[in-house]
Amino acid sequence: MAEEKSQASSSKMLTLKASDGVLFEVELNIAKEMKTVQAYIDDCEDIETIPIPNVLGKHLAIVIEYIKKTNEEYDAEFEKQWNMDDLQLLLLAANYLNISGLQECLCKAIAKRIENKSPEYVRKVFNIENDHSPEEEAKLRKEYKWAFEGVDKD
Amino acid sequence: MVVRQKSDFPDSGRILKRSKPLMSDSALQDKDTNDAVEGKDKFEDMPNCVVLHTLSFMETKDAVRTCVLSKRWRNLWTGIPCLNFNSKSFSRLVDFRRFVVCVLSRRDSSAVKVLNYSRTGVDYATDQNLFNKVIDYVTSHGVEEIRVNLRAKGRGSPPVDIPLSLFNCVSLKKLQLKDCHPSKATWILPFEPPKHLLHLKQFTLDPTAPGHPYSFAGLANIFGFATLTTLNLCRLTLSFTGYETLNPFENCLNLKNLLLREIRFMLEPVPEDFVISAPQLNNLTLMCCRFFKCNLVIAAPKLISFNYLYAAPGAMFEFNIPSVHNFTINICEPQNKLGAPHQKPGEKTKHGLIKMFREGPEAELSFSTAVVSCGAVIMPKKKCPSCCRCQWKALNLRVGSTYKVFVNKLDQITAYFRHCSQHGEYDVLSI
Repeated sequence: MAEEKSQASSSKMLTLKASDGVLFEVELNIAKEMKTVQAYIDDCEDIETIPIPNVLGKHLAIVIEYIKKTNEEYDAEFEKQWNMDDLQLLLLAANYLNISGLQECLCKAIAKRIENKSPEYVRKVFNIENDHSPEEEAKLRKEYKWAFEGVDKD
Repeated sequence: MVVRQKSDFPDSGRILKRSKPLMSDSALQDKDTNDAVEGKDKFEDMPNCVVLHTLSFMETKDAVRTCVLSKRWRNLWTGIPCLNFNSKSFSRLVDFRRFVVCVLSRRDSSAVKVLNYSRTGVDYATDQNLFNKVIDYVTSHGVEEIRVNLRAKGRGSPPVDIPLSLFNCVSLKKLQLKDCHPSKATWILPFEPPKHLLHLKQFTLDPTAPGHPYSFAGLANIFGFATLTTLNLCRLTLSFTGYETLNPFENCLNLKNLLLREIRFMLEPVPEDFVISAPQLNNLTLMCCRFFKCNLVIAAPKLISFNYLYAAPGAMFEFNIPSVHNFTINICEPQNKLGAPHQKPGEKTKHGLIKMFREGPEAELSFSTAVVSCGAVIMPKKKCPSCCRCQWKALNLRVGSTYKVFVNKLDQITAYFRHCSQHGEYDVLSI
C-alpha cells in the first residue's frame, strides 16, 4: 500500500487545518484516504486549506502518519502505542474523516482492551454514567448471569 | 468557505451537532472545540454503528455484558452485526447452549454479517440441534461469512449435517468449515446434486483429523465450485473416479486462488496427467500433498504464482502457460525439524521441470526454488513439439541459499531455457 502511494502521479499538496489551528501539508492522495476530505475536495475543486474542526492537531498528525504507513505489521504495533483516551479520540477522528481501514484497526484495538473486563472497569474507561437503579442492574446481571462468569478482576 | 451540512456525513451526525460551525478565525474555535473534543463523554459521542463495530471484535459473551453499563447500552448489543460464539469461554457446554439460544432470541432483526461458531465438544458428536438453530438464524438474517470450528473429544473432527437453510442462503459468500466432516459431502457419486441458491466466493474445508474420503465431484456439486474465487482444501482425502484425463478445476470459471494442503488423492483409474487449468487461476499452492504416479500439468492461462511446498520428491511438472508476465515458481523440499532437507547429501531430488511453454511476446520468468535437479528429466519430451515457440526475454533463477549445494548441472538448466527462448536478447539474470 505504501508503494502505491509513492508512485501516485499527483504531487499536489493540500493543507489540513486541525481544530487547534495546527496546519498539515499533505499530498493529495494521502488526503483522499479520508473520505470526508475527498467529499470536500469534490465539492470545491480549487480549495487549498481544508478545516478539520473536530480533530486536534496531535490526533490529526497520528492519523496522517497512519495513512502513510499502513500495513498489517504497522497496525499491530500501532495500537500498542496509544492510551485509551487517545484511542477513543482517534476513533472519533477516523469516523469523522471516514477512513475505514483506520476505523477497523482502532475498533479492534479498543475491543481487545476491554473484552474481558468488568462493567465497572469499562464505565471508568469510557466515562459512562451508570443511570441504572441498583434493582435494574441486579435484574440484568441475573438475566445474563452466564455472561458475567470468568471476568477479569479489576 | 462552504459550511458542511450535517446530512453529508451520516455516521458522524452526532459529532457535528456538538462542534462549533466552521469559522475562518481559528482563535474563536480553539477554546470551545477543545472542550468538545477533550470533554468527558468520548465514547458517548460515538455513533451507535461505531460502538457496534467495536463490539463485533469481541466474543458475543463480552458484548452482552455491556447491557449493564447504562440505559443507553441496555439493548445496544442486540444489534451487533457479528456473532462470535466460543464454547471455551463457558465452564459447561450446557451454559454455552443456553447462552447461544438466549442471544438468538434477544437479538434484534438487523442483519448478521459474520458468524464465528466454535464449539469444542467433550464427546465425539457435536450438538447438531444447536448448530441447526444457529445456522437457521444467521441465514435468515442475511449472513455473508460463516466460520465453523467443531473440534470434538481429543483431536477428533465430528461429522455434522449442513442444514438446508445454508444451501438456500443467497447472501452467503464465505464459508469455512474446520475440524468437522460435513457428512453429505462424503457421499460418493452418483447422487442427485441438490438444487440450491448458494453462490459462494470463498470455501475452506479443513477437517484436521482424517475421515472418509471426499468425492471431489460431490463437494463441487454440493457447495457450488463454479462461483468460487478462492478454494482451500486441507487435510482430507479426495477421490476422483471415472476420469481418464483428469482436469477437475476446468469448470471453476471464477477461481483465482487454489490451495491444496496435505491432500491425499485417490484416483481410479490413475490418469496419465493430472491437469490444473482453471481459466482465471492466479495463485496455486500445493503443500504437503501425497502425489501420485502421473504428471502434474499446470495449464492455467492466467497463473501468476505457483508454490509447491514440502512435498515428497518425485513429482513431474509440466507448465503449459501462455503469455503471463512475472510468473513465480516456488518449490521447496520437505524439511525435518531442524530445517535441513530430508535427503542425504549427494542424493538428487527428482522434481523435473519439463517443457515450460511461454508464448507471450515478453515474458520474464522468475523462478525461485530450494532445490533444483536436472539432467535427463530436463530434456523436453519428444511428443511435445511446441517448446520452440517460447519468447522468453529473461530468466531469473534464484536458488535458496541453504540448498545451493544440492543444485546440479545449473548450466544445463540455463541452456535449456536459452534454447527454448527465441528472443535475441535473452538474459539469465541471476543464479
